[in-house]
Amino acid sequence: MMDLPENIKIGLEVHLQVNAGKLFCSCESEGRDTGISFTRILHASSGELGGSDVSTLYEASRERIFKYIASDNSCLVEYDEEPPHKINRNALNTALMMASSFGSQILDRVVVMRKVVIDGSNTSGFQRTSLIGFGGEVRRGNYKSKISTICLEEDACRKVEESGNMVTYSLDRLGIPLIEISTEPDITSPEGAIEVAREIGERLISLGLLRKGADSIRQDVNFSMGNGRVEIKGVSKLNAIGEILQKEIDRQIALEKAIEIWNARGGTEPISFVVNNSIMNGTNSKMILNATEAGKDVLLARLKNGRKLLKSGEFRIGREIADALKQIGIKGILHYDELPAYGITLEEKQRISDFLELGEHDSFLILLEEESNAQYVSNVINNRIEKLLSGDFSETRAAMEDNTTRFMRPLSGSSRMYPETDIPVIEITRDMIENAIKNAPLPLEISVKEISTKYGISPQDASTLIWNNTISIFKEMAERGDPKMVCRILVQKLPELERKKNMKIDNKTLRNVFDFCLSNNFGRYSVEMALELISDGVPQEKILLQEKLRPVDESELTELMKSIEEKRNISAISKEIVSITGRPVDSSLIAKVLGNQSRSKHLNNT
Amino acid sequence: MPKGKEISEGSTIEFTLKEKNLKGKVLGIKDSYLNIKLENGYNIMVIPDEIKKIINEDKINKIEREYSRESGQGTNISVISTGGTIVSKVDYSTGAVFPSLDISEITSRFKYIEKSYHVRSIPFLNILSENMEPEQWLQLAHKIVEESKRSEGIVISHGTDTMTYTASALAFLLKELSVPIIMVGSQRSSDRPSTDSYLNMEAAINFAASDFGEVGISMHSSISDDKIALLRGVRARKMHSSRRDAFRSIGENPVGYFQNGLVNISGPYRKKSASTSIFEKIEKRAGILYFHPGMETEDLSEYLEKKLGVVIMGTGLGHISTKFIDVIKEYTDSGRMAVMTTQCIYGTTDLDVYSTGRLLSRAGVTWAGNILPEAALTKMMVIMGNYPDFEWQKRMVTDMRGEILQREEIGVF
Repeated sequence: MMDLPENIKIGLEVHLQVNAGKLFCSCESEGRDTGISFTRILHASSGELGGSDVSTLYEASRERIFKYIASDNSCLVEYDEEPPHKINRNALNTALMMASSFGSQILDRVVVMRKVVIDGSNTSGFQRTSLIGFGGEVRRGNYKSKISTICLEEDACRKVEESGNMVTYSLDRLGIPLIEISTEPDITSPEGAIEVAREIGERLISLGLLRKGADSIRQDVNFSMGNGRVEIKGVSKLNAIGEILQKEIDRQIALEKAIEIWNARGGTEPISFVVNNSIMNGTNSKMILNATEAGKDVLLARLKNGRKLLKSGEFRIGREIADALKQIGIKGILHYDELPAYGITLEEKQRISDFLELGEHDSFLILLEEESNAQYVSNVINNRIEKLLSGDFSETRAAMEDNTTRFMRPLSGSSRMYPETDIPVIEITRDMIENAIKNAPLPLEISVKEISTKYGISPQDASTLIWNNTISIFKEMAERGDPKMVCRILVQKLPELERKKNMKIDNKTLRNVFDFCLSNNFGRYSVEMALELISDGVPQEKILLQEKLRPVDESELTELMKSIEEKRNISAISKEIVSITGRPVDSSLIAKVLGNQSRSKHLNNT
Repeated sequence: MPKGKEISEGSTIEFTLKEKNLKGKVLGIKDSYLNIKLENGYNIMVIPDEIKKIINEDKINKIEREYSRESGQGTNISVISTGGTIVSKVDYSTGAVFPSLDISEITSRFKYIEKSYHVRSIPFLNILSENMEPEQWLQLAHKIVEESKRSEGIVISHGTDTMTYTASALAFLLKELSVPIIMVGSQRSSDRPSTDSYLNMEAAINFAASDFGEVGISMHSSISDDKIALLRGVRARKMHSSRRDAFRSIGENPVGYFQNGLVNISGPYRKKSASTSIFEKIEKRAGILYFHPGMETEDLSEYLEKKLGVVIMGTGLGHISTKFIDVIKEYTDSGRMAVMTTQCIYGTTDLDVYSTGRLLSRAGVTWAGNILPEAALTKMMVIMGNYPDFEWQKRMVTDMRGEILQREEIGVF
């Protein structure tokens, strides 16, 4: 158990991808890049109350070009070249089931909104989102949290790369339905957050409708310890919540201390850069030399009372500044505390200090940029420092791989939202609500028990089916006759094949294989052969054929066995039969035929 | 709803809905529902009966911005607005779209435009382009004459649906042009961050400052936000209902492009002349008839009855069922005009190739090469309005504004 401040408050926003095709078009959830791409620019626009959201203006100030790679599961809707189609009813119903699963109130009318996001992650410049319900509670063990809202929204593009002012996205993820469940900030420990998030995720898993994939569950964590709300975006691993929060707590505590010192020294004054290219004459610093060669200027600014607070001991205000600058594409910034370094000598550091007439507690910043950008950069720095010194740490931060967080943008306000004028208000009928209540997912444990009892499979197998996300296929196919066979293939054969061949067989393919075999009354051996061929990369249309998957029958087998050398090993015989016929064969049938043969031999001999 | 209290637009209210206390602003009342914006930004639709308590009646602080009708300094460009998606804003309480006349909305996005151009916004019409009528084309032509006296270029913002009709009509109505006329529209309204309107307009202003003495259209050349095409109005057509690059030049390449702040006009074009003059009349009694199998002779006769001229969209090289020959002959014999175009859109008409074509030709049908149906219609309206009837046919088949291409190259289809 970690040492936590008493006043911490944690709220969660859990995003779950629904495996039901896309939300506003007829594309599927899975897709591959087509290699076709296009580029776009996004403009800030004003919300319905006439204001522009601060985070929107912030993004607009970064002049960027967005490149989108079209995937084969994207169409004109994802390209923002066609109005959205009607809402995906399966996704909507799933959201309603989730809402009723937690006892939330479902709204009678759903209004689809546009949430303006101009970081390029949506081709339209907004994310479509709708409030489905509110209220209800998540409980698990000793932990619980009240639900504030349940929304159904479309997922954003997947970022592929970022270089210079160009950000590249893939469209494969854009438009996948996301159920967003937000809780009140009533969780008081990271453990509580993990348990609550886990319970939310497991409900959709138990419904069998969570999309398979590394990013199918993503959490944003709202956190505060008295300095304003920090929204941490993109926590994909649940277990990382604890470490992320601990690091965020450490960051805020260090910030609090640094600010206390800074304010005790009398606070600061806005910085302003002055050009002094000659001050570094004769330097050996490659960083400086490269920058000046590229036509950049050496810009210097005094930072009043900031000494030993930017990078010293636990203090890292330098990083706070650098993170804000990184967002506007500025990387070349150095400060007093980190020098001498980067080839800049102590003597040069002193020269700069003298030039800027630094006082005892003062620090300085060196910016390697064109002079014309100085004003803009200093504004960003001044705003950042002013906000931190006021003790307001509220902002949106991104979770990084090392579980630290980085400044992303100011918190978004409500003027980011306005109605999606292309989609009329959706009425939620009594039938829809009744259906949602009837099919609301149960806690995972109970689902496991129910499935195990109903289909006569072990609770372990039921649990594996749920976790592997094959439960919906299992239920569908088990209803058609042989639950044990279907279970065996999904629980044993499939993961084994996927491991061996290092590839994933998607649910649609699985469904096709089972559907074909079961409709033709072909059993386990046919399904297994089909899956093996698929994992070898053979196209489905060459596999799902009668003449390919029909098992060798007894008379054929008897005939074939005559020409096979005498082998007592059933598996060797089976291999040979398969290689001769290219069709599946039931090994118990081989045993039977073998038995018949030995009996007839025996009879002949006597 | 509490008795004695009226909920009015703009009120901030607190209410209980589904056992939860909520707070929000009333954006409007629509179909007996209150449209309420919650504090978290989501809108909900609520029946007034569900409202339990109203705390106050604060009016929404709608930020009324000053509309600026003029902006920047430099080359004088007039932007005449007729409505359509390009200048539209959403009225969020009703969901309706209304026009914005604030030119600085657009020009302020491009710093260099403010430095190089003095742009004036002239509100002329505020209609959806499907409601445009021939009388308004004539009024617009007059407006152009007026504006050409004080501007070096004219941009006309227009809904995209009938933009090529207006572009063609203006092209024929304007005998000579001392300023470029650039029509511009958008396929994504300007309230969306992904709007194409700013780029189309930026290009239009730049095209308008060139020496292009024709009516052109400035729209995206692909679905990327990087290159805007200048299309000759009489050869342009909206070929997709929703894509940004819906407008295509038919049978010829775009006249020019705008990319990275630069105009490059490479195709042949008419340079602007010393003055602007117009035809004063337009004949409305003309129409387009789309032939299809199953069309009855009576359908055709009924349609032709009130028309002085008809543009037929025939099949292939320009055919309609031979059962119509007599009706057509009677029509042209009475001094009225029938012009054949093709449903294929691309390619020419030729009534010499098949026997049906020859019959139609003999029945008095005029064919004017690869003229587009919309261009044929507007040309007919201008010709019939301004020339004696014995000249109509000769004028129709003679190229006036680049509407009839003498040769088509391989790469344009």
